Amino acid sequence: MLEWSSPSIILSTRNYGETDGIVSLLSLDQGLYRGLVRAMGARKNTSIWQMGNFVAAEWSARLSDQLGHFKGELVRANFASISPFPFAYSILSSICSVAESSLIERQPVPDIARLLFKILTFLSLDPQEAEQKAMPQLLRWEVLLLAELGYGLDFSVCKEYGADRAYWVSPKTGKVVTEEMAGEWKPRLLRLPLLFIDETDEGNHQDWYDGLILTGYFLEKHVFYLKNKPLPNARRLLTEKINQLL
Amino acid sequence: MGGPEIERLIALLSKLPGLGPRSARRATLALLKQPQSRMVPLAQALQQAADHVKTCSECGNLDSSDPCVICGNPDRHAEQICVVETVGDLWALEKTGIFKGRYQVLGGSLSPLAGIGPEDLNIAPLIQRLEDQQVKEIILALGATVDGVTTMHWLYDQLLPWGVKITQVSQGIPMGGSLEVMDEGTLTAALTTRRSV
Repeated sequence: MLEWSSPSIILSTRNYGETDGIVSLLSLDQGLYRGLVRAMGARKNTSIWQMGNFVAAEWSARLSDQLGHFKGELVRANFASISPFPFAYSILSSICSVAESSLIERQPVPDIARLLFKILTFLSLDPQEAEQKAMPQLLRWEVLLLAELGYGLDFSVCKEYGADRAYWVSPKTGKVVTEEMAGEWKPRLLRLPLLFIDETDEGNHQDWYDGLILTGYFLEKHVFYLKNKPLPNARRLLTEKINQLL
Repeated sequence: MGGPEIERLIALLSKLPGLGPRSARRATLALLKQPQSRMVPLAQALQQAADHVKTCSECGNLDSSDPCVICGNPDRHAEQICVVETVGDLWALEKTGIFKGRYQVLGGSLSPLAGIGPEDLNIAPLIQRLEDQQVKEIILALGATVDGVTTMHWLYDQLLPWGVKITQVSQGIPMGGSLEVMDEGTLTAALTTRRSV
């Protein structure tokens, strides 16, 4: 019997039959896993198996190539605290759908998982003020995700020139360049908001929008194009929401 | 086991929600034991329902008349519209007897996994009613699921330009519920959506 138990974040759920469900979760130690949850639709279970919740998950299967079963105990009910707040909920939906549809199954990604735990904790603690704290974190998480999947942006030039100047990113190579280096090619490059270089910078609406366009471009080009899928709908809606704030 | 008629009956019944092959067999046997008193009236009722029940063009409810008895009732308040996902939800709310307004059945909820997008929801009649009638409040009575919440936030954005009051049904402790046995999700929702006494 194969089994593991680990703190996990529920990324998505879907019904299977009348009462069971198939759950995707991101485990801190095991990475993205899918499994069957018996009686997911039962009254005592519905509040556990919701997107964004932290659970102490247990997975077991007889053989490694089987889907396996999940059991879980609720650790933090993030869905219930975040869902009444539209902006926080958009961030939650976006981050969970991007993680679920981009990560490779059963491959541990502890850094990705750890930062996701941190972002969702931020969101659930103060969902009304979520945007200021969580949006920069979400953008940095997407850059980390790209790097983890092998398509990281090249920030080496920023170390050389410091954080007090404007930077642009080549859509072709993912290399960051200064404004002077960009020269006449600037209109074709993607703007790199300062929050990607300076951890203390929270950015503004324009920075978040530019950041979403930047990471969205590379996610679409390198990750979702290869999977023959578009960017998740929730991610697109978040970009639209930020665009409306400009 | 039985003839093709029986097999077909079992197969059709087992496709209904809540019935599997075993319970479909039991139901078939119960019907066959008393064909005149159970089976024939059931067949007639099914035929009549198939012939006469239609979807209300105003709210999406199922009824034998169009508009349905709720939309056609002049005593129901036209200024309050309660938006629900399915006809089952409408019937559940009607059973309480508390709500005196009208309904709008969306016919589902937004679900990227199931491929249900905004164009699949029955929202056009609601917009029409907002234009034609004196609607003052829209009550969003949608499920506390990912799909329900996504639909709620999307609908809120769509309805905002109309300037009507938009409310959401409360979430939290069920009647007769004790706090110590309540799950964390329900308690969190109850605390988040608390109100003044």
